[in-house]
Amino acid sequence: MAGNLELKQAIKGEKTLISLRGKIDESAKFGTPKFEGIKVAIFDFDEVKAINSMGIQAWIAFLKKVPESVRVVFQRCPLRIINQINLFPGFLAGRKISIVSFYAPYFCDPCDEAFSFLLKTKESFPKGKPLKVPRKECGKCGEALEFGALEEKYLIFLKRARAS
Amino acid sequence: MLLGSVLIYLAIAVNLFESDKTAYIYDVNASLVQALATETETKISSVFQSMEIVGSVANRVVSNAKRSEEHLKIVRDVFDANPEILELEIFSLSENRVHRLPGLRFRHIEPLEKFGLDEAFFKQIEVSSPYPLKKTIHEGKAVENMKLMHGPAMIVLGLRPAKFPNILVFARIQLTKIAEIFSNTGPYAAYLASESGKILFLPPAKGQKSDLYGAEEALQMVLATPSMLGSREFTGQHDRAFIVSHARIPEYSLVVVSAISLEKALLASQRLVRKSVLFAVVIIIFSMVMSAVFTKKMTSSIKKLFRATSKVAEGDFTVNVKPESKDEIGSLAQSFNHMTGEITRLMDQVADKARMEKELETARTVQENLFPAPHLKLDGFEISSFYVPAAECGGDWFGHLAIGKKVIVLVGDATGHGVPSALVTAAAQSCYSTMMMVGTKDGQLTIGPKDLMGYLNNSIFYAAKGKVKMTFFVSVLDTETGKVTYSNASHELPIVFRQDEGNVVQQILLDGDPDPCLGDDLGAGFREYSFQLEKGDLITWYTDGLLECKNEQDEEWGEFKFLRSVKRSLHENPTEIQEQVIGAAFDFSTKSGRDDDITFLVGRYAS
Repeated sequence: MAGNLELKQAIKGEKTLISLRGKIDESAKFGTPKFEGIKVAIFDFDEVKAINSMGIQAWIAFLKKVPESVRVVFQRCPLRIINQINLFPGFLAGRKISIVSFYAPYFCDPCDEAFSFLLKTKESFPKGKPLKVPRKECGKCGEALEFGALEEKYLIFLKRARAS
Repeated sequence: MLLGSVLIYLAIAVNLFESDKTAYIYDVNASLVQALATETETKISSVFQSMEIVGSVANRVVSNAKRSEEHLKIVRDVFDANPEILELEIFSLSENRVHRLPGLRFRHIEPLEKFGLDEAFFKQIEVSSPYPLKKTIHEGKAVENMKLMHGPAMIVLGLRPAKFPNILVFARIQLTKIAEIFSNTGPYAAYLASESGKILFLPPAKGQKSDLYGAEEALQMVLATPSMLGSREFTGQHDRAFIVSHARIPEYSLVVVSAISLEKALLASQRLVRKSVLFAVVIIIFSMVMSAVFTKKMTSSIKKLFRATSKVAEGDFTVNVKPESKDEIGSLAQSFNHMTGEITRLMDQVADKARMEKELETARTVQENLFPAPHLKLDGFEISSFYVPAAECGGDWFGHLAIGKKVIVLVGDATGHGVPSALVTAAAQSCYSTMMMVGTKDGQLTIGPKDLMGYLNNSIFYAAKGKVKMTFFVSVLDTETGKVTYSNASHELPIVFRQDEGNVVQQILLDGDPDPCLGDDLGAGFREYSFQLEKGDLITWYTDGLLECKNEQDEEWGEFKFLRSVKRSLHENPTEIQEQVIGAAFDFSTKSGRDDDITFLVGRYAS
């Protein structure tokens, strides 16, 4: 593990899966994943526990090193990663990146409990339809869950992706 | 103490040694008498066996009433086999009368010649020491001492063979061979005595006179003891102590006695003790001298350490002690030097830390002056703010200023936190202050958000050279029209809360594509957007530290709770809303969970 972050790379044909685990902060070292002969690089953020402003700079510097010929895909992005994508245009290093799945926060006010659902972009937000988070129900009380963030703000990355 | 210990040890050792030596003397003396008794018994038994043979011959002579050459030859053989026999005579016994048999008395004169004695000697001893006829007849065997004025030690043996009870055989034998054994007993005075209390012979012991201790009295003590073999202490003449051992020869009613002076027996051990004492004294003196030398050397080193310690106690930590040995004292000196070195280093560190804390305190004071008053109230607009740094200095900065009918509100968040980030915020505030002077004409603001953002960007870039960046949000509110123009450099978007007549709350994002962080790209351009506020609208600015407060389970307070908290207090004034929202965030989180600077501003448009 380099600092608080660990990267694991698996290569299958022209695809590579790079799983990130830990904290993306000032101690993060991304190493030198192999991209020779790779056409699609899938970054899995499922186990990223934290990211801070110093880590974002390191991440951007790392992403810029990924060859332009490689199509970059993000999957299983947690809320903290989506927030950074929304706030920092540079987080994507100026690339056109597909976010195929991400976690969405929900909240049950009566139960005072937070939930996180993995949403697949294509299924939950089909092209041509308004960007609206899917309805979810509380597993405890059965009440409809409220979205756990400002919906308009949270889905900015999808809005930008559609506009581009 | 050492001397006392050695003397006690010596006393115990001497006592043990003497006890051991005494036990050894007892043992040796007993072994000696037993060996002498065994040898004496063997010799006498040998003579008695020869006398049995002579008795057998005598019986045949008596039966045939004459002696033959054959019989004489047997007797000569007996003499040859037992050179200690000086005289041999055979008697017959009939009708309780003893008859001397003519021609059956044999004498061996040669051994006597070296004592200057001749045949006449036998006539003399016949008178002084006659044959023990009665005892021999009644007991079958008799052993008697011969009281002689001169000549060899002798005893007379009498035998009445069981097979030939009519025959009596007597022999006078010299004890030269046995006496040689008794005279070769070293310091032990050994003698042979009969159970009747007669001392058969008493050779002088080596180095001491045999009568010194009173052999007769010792013998009486032995004869009063029923044991076959034994040793005991005996007080002889002049109250001198002896160890007396005895071994009985019951077959011949004899007893072998040996005595040795306890003083003489322990002479060697006493010499050894004296030498040991002398040696111990020498060792003690040597040890004391060596101890004195080493103690002086040791105390010298310890005194140096003591003096050095005293100097340390007085506050002089530069003192050093030169190790003079490789032992524990030397190691102690090294440890002392290491300790003073560490104390000096730690004191330097403490001084540095105090200086840094002082500097940080100053920096914090300076930075606090970079912030405006927390509350601003104008006609048509009221704003309340909250800021707390995660460390001594923070990387968040905000400002608000009313210029004419406009209010400018800025919120920024530098990457990281602490002093480096605080310095960047100082650069931002400096630029902002300058621009507020330059960009104001006739009391009116002449510079817009995107231009101000451009200046701020360049200022921060020059200050940090790209190492520290800053998210920023600049908004200008027209208090007359309610129009907000803003520019965003990757900062958290402010949220407008609008409550309609049905009390439904709308949450409106001050949207717009964000531009890069300040300090990222020199000369970067920024876009400008606008939003129309309505009367009663509440607008919130904040940094991510507010939403990222964590509880003990490492859960973030988050956007949902933030929005809910604002909505619940929406009817309050901005100051109360700010306090309730911050209160909710702090109630949720722990102190360690607030590891980022927190900035929160609440403004209400009321015109």
